[in-house]
Amino acid sequence: MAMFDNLINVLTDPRVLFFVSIVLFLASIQFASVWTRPPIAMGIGALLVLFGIYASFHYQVADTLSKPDNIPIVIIIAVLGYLYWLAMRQAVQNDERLARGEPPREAAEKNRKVLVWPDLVYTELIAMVVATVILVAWSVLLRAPLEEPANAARTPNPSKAPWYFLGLQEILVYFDPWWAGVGLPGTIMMGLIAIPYVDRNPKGNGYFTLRERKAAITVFCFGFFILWLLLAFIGTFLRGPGWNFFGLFKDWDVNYVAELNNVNLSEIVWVKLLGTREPSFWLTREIWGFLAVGFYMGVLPVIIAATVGKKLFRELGAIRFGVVVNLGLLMAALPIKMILRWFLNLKYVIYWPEILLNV
Amino acid sequence: MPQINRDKETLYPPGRLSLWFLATSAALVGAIVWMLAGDFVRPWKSVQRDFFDRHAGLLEVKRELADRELRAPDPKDAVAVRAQAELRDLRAQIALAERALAEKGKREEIERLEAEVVEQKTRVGIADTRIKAVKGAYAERRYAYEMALKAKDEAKARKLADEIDALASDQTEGDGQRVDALVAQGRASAALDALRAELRGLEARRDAILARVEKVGSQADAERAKVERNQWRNLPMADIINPSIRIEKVVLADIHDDMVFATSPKVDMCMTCHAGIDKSMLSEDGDASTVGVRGLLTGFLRMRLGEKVWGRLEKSPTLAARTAPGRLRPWLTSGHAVLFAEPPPKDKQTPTDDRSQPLFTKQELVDAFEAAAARDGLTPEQQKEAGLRTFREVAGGKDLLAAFRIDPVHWAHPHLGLMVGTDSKHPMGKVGCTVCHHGVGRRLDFARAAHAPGSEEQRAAWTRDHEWEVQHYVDFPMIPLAYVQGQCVKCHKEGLPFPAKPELLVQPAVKEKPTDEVGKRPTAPNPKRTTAEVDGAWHPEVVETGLERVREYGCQGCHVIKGLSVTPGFPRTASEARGGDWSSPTPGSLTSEGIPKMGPSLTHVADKTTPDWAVRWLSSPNRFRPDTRMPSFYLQAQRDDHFRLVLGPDGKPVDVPVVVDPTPRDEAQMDVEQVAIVRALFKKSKSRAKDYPEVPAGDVKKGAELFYAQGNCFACHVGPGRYGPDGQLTPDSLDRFLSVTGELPAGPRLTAMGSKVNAKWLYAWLLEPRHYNSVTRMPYNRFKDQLAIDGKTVVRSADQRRADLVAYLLVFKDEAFDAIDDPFKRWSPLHQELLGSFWMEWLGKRDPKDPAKGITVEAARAHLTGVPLEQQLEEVGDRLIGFRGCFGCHDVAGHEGRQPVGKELTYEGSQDLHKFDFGILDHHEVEHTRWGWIEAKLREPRLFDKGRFKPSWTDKLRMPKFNFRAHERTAVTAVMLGLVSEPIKPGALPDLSKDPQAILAGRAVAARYGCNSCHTLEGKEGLATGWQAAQGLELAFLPPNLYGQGNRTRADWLFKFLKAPHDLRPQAVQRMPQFRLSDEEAHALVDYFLALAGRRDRLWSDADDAPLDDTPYAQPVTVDVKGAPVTFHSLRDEAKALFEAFNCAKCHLAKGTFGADPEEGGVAPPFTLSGPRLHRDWVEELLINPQNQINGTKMVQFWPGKSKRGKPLPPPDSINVTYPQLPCGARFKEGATNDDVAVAQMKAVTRYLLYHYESPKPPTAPPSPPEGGGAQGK
Repeated sequence: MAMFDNLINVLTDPRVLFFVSIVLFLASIQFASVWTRPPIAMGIGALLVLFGIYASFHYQVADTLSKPDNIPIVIIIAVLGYLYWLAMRQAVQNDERLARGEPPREAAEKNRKVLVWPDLVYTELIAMVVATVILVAWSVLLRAPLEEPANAARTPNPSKAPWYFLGLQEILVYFDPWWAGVGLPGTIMMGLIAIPYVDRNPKGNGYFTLRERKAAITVFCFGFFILWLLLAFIGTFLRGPGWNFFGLFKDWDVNYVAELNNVNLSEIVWVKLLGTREPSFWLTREIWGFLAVGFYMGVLPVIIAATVGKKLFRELGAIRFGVVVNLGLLMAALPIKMILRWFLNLKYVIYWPEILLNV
Repeated sequence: MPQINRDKETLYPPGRLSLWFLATSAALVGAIVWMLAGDFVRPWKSVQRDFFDRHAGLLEVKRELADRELRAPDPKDAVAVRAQAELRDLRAQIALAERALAEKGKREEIERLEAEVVEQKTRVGIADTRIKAVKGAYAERRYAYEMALKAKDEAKARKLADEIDALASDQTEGDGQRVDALVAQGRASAALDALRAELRGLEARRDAILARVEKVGSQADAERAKVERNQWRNLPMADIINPSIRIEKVVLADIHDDMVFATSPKVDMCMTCHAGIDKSMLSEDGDASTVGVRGLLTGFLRMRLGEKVWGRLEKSPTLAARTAPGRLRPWLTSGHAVLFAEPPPKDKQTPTDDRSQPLFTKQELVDAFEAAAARDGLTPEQQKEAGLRTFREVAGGKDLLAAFRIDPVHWAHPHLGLMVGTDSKHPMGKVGCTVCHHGVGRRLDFARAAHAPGSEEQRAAWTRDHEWEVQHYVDFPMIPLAYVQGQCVKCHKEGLPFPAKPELLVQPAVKEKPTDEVGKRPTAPNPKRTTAEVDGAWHPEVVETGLERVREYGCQGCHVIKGLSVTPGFPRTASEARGGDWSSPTPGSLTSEGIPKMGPSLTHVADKTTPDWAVRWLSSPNRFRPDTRMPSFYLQAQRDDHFRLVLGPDGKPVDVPVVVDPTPRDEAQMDVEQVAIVRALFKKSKSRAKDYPEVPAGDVKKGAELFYAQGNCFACHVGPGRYGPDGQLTPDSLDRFLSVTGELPAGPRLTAMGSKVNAKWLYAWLLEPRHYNSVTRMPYNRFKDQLAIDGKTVVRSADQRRADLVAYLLVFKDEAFDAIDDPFKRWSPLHQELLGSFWMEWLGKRDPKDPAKGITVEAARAHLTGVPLEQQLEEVGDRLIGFRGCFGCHDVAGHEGRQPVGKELTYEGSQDLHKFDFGILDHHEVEHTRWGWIEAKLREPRLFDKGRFKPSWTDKLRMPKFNFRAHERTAVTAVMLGLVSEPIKPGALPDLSKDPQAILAGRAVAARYGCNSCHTLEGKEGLATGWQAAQGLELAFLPPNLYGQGNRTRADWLFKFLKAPHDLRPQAVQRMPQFRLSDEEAHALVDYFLALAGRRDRLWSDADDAPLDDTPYAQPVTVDVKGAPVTFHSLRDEAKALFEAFNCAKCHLAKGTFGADPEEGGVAPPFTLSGPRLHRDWVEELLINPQNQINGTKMVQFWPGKSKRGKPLPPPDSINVTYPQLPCGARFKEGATNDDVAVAQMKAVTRYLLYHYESPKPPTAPPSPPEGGGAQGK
């Protein structure tokens, strides 16, 4: 069992888990028709439940799980797992029907009308009652996780945000607070707003399908599962005292020390590669950063438009293509920055304290 | 995927939706009921409800008892019997008085007067109305008049002026009417009162008696009403309005929680559950106005069982054991409390403190019933039947005690008189709960209030029953009970201002002693040499012990603790210029905070001992002195089997020492350090040995005698032992101290001085200890020449006697200790390498030639190779003295005035838990709490280095290990926890009126100089005195009991005496040594004695000092003195004659002086001292009964009779003088009795002695002038 625990600890090191998750995620898209078959899906589900039970016997996991504020994330993981399977299952079935030339299952409902009363309002009422019952039961069963009155001189270690902010808190590790707290969340919202305007593909409207919208589904689910949910999971279960990474079964030892000597790109280039000291003028000092970012946000879209995105560019036109590619690049910037941090200890690409903005 | 219902209009059939709705609505109702029920049964509500029930039940019992006390009082309770009889009388008298008032004539008179009162009241009312109306009109007219004048309308003004005049006379008339009516009403009322006066008085007395019952009854009713009558108020939802079950809380305006950037008043809600915490009825004993649980229980049983049965049962030993103080509560709360049970089988006798034992055995009850029946004259058959009937009646059975099984949460706080009680110094509303206990006062949940379990069992039980768990987020969880007392220090940093207990200050009367022989002490020494009884039944000994250890073990040498337990006279600034004043400290003798260092000075250590001894000592002080206060810096001591001599009551060591196995490298490091430190010390030592006098040859046996008698040494030191008549040595032992006080002696053990010091130094030390250590507590012992019987020939000179002592002490050596190897002999390349690394670690940073400058590593290395080993050792050693903090306790040349090496502890108790460095020890190894850390630190100071990788040895922990016993560690930990930064406003701080403050200060000085070693102080017997008296020495010749010292001697004399003592009683065995007290210290002691005697307001003299009247009598008195008539012309004449007749001078003059008895002279203190020394009223008391003032004195009681305060005295034991019939003015008093004459005589003699006495021959020399070097203060 110790070997298994150690294996889990290695796998749940976020630096490994991140890649493992991406691979598993891509595989789940690629092999959707295989794993969504009920026997296989049930088998996977059973294994995951067994693992969950096993894990919850471990001291550290039990301690995290037993905190009332962590209940929602467990529910989310379970519910989303089920819903992901359900959607994928239906998408696969529809794909098969479409391949056979049949209409999707949902087509039958297409012309059907339902009444506001009782079909809508009555069911909503029942749903409200059920939700109220659940909330009352929840509040009776679980105590509010209150602590001592706040004291600025005695902050808890680790200091954790509520579960729904833990993804953001994780982003804070890698980006300047301006970006992590304002820029990126704002962009996410802008991006979500922009979807109807840039995505005018009518396929998949009103029915589940994977084959017809593979890219869109992959990108969305990647953003939701990997860049949001996984980060919240990491923040909840794998970040311990000192905001250090701890494997799932590792005890949160307050004395644990991790070497984290982060450096800026300017330092890497000027000091490590060129062997000189950094210039004092910010523009000269950060010139490599500006060049890198300029290349990433300015040149890279052009290259994409000319190469792999040629077809997309034709379909969308210059403006919408620009919006899509830039949003996509911003989204990709998060994992890229994480990886750079983990493996190069890169702190900022542009270190620009003069205007309180770092990239 | 819902199937589409194609046949119908709707997607879902409405019927099914309604079913769903029904089901979910039912679930919602259920959830809401669940929520309300959950709120209704919240634990605190249940606890409070339970409390109300229990309390009301007890009040019912109480009312029944009080009621019964009047209806059918206990025949043995005289007060109750009297009250009942009186009530009966009163009721009869009231009836009589009422009947008398109802007689015809009187009734008419009363009716008339009552009517008169009513009428006059009406008249007053009418007059009042009239006056009011007139006043209004007057004010209005006046305004109009003023306006008319202003408008120059003279006609109108004149008219108005007339009206005003009329109104004014109206008002005068009205006033007159009113006064008349009032007077008439008063007269009528007075007449009425006179008629009814008798009745009123009777009624008032009756009401007073009834009030006792009424009060209790109404209390009970009110409490019961709170729960029973108002149950509706507590129903769910209704309870939002005004429930009786509610959260109780106090807001402490003066005590705030510190939140770094903000503070907020403490709010405690603890009493919501601990509802009985301040109710004295729920304490074991109650208080002056309320009976406690013990009284209720016994009263209840007596009531239920009947007097006869109870009379027999109340002598039961099980009852006594159960209801003994401190036992009752645990038993009643144990859940096993039952009235009776079958007797346990013989082979399974349970000890009495087994909680499951009942109050009585069944057999005891049956026997009692049968015996009671027998007294009623019944046959055995009837007896049995009657007994069993009562038995069945009584016993709802064993559950008779149901009302008394009080849950622990409901009991009152112990010591209500001191804590929590309304009238105590720490009432709930001002101090609350969490101030002392910590925890979260704002939480009602058991676990989240952060209750602290007292034991592992309790922890398990709480976890099981109350979902208890450690509250990680609570900064100040509740403190375990063992440490709670330490929180006293929070406000009482100076110590605890407990007033002296008056009873302890009274000399126990001689007749109470278990011996017939006056002046002899009881054969068994008093085992209770403790003040635990002071103030109620309790004294916070934990915190006193803790404060004492912090002071005595020199914690403040290394740690700054601001304001904690500072001895009066300190902190002070030292001055180089001592001006020959031995009482002023040298600069190096005080810490940077101005507190005297606890260890001996080392500035002249080479004069005293040898480097070899010093190295051995340093390696393990315990091996030389198992009980030393010097801590072990090097860990060998922990491997030594006998380092811990202090044993527990079972004779086994109290602590199991932790074995630390040093590596060879560690051992080498210790060797290097010890050698280096000693080399440095001896190199720096300034020698004065050349000025020391030569020591004459001494006599060991005489020295031993001196040590255990006049030298006083034995009072503070464990000595080598005494020689018996056969020349055999009986070794002295620490038990002599431990068995009496449980404490170590004030001075170091002197059993092997031959191994340590040299004769010249010891001789000089005895001559004047302060030449060597300016803050030593060792006194200058006033050795004097021993004279022959003629008082002139010197038998043995003072110098010779000192030499005897030196010879005696130096005979004894510790050979095993002397045989310990010199570490320098083990010197190896490893040692050399370590020395080099030490050297580089410090000297590499600073230039040895100019310490202000730093030098490079290369230069340092060059220096290292350039200097000889000896110099390397000295330089390293000097740095080590600084590094290890030796200067915190010792005066070391070159380290004067340095900042202490330890962390400041002023706010240690508030320190955030995360700032305690637990190293890498997890909570199984050391409990991760403040107290866990501090206890572990005191037990094993370097424990937290365990497993840490610290290659640089200067990074390692430095604290040395002290020889604390387990309870001492707990006490010191408790005190540390009390050092907090919590903001406490002046309103909550102790208001020390002058007396407690003076007592506190005096106690500290007395403790510092070990006064209690010889003298009995505040009822604590002088240890040495007790030991001597136990061996048959007479109390009269031993150091005096200092009870009432403030009453006895005058403050100015006492001050001078403390500064420079002289001989008082010629035959005393011991002589008061001279402690070289500073003025502040002597003042503190004088104030202390005055405060104990309640005399501080009359500081320097008696208020009514007056010499005797010398005016001649109008008529001279002639009385028969010794068979011859003598005429006296004045009071002073009479007093003089009386004084001479008693032949006081026989004992009170020095032997051989004129007027003294040639045989007995010089037994008592000479009279020449009396005037400036004694208080007049004390001398009077002394004459009344000498034994009451001086225990065991040889002074004769001359007068029988009563004391001045009217207390009857025991018949004099040894009257050997018949006092002559000199009336001394008493004859001027009408009907003067013998007692009056005696009192007058005493007063006269006292005054004569104090104001007129002249020695028959002027003394040839002033009484024993103070000796010793240098000028005395004042």
